[in-house]
Amino acid sequence: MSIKHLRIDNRLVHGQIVVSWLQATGSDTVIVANDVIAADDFQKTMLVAVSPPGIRERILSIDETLAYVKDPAHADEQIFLLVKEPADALRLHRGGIGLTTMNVGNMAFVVGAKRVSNTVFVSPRDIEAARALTAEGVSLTCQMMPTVARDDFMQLLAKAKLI
Amino acid sequence: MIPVLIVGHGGFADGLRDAIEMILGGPQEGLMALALRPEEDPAELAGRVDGALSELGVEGDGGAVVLADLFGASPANAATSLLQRRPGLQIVTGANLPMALELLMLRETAEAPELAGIALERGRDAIRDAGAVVREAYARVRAEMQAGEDR
Repeated sequence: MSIKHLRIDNRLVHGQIVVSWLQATGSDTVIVANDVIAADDFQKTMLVAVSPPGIRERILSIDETLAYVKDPAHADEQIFLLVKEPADALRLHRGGIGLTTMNVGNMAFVVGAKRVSNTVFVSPRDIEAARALTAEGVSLTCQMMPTVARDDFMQLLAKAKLI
Repeated sequence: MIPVLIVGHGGFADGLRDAIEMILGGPQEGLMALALRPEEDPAELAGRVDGALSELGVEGDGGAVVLADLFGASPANAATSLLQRRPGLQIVTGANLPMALELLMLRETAEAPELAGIALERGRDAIRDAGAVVREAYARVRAEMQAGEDR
């Protein structure tokens, strides 16, 4: 399996991903790993129908994602993984995805979330999952675009006095 | 790197630049936006377009791409009126976000005339009936599911 990048981004596939990230990471396959969307035929169809040209896009549950990336039939694919929240990233990690770095992109404000930056807001649940990921050896970065500096996500949380 | 100047009516140019910066992640070097305001004499606009191009470092026959909102309208005409003095200008109208993004990503490796061609092509291709694309895709999925159930 060749996973080029895992991004935690509540907007999933959006302009920045389509325009910059896929090219910058050399990815040819996008996997949106999300249980809710994977169970919704309309949303699933829609996301695939509007996927960027030349990119293979799969909408899979977390369990299906794990099976997909471990399947030798997909060994040649250069995969860009998208999840909505740190808790899903943690499930992938515990399922054996084998990544040592994951990146936090956009996390929109939800009720009860605290501000980390202009584009990142975290809930207590997000913080808990982020802590677990780092405790289990995954370093979390925070990088909006491939061309900008990569921050350490836990340091940002510390700076925002959230941990 | 080929400079890009966006010109348009009201908030169009600033709005397009704002959208570009949101997607590309921040301010872009060599990109300016210029507005024709309702109270402005269109005749003065050519002077401001000229000034903006100078500010972008475009001199004489230097290459640059001007994206204008509407063919035959004052902002586009202000740019075309400069062609005699600035023969290296490429002026593309019907400016849209897809063409602007394509331009900005390719302008370090391509020259102005080539960029204008790419902008035209990309700008046209990107105009899609997204509703129809999704509606048809979903109809196919539903038909397949139905066929599966009937089997």
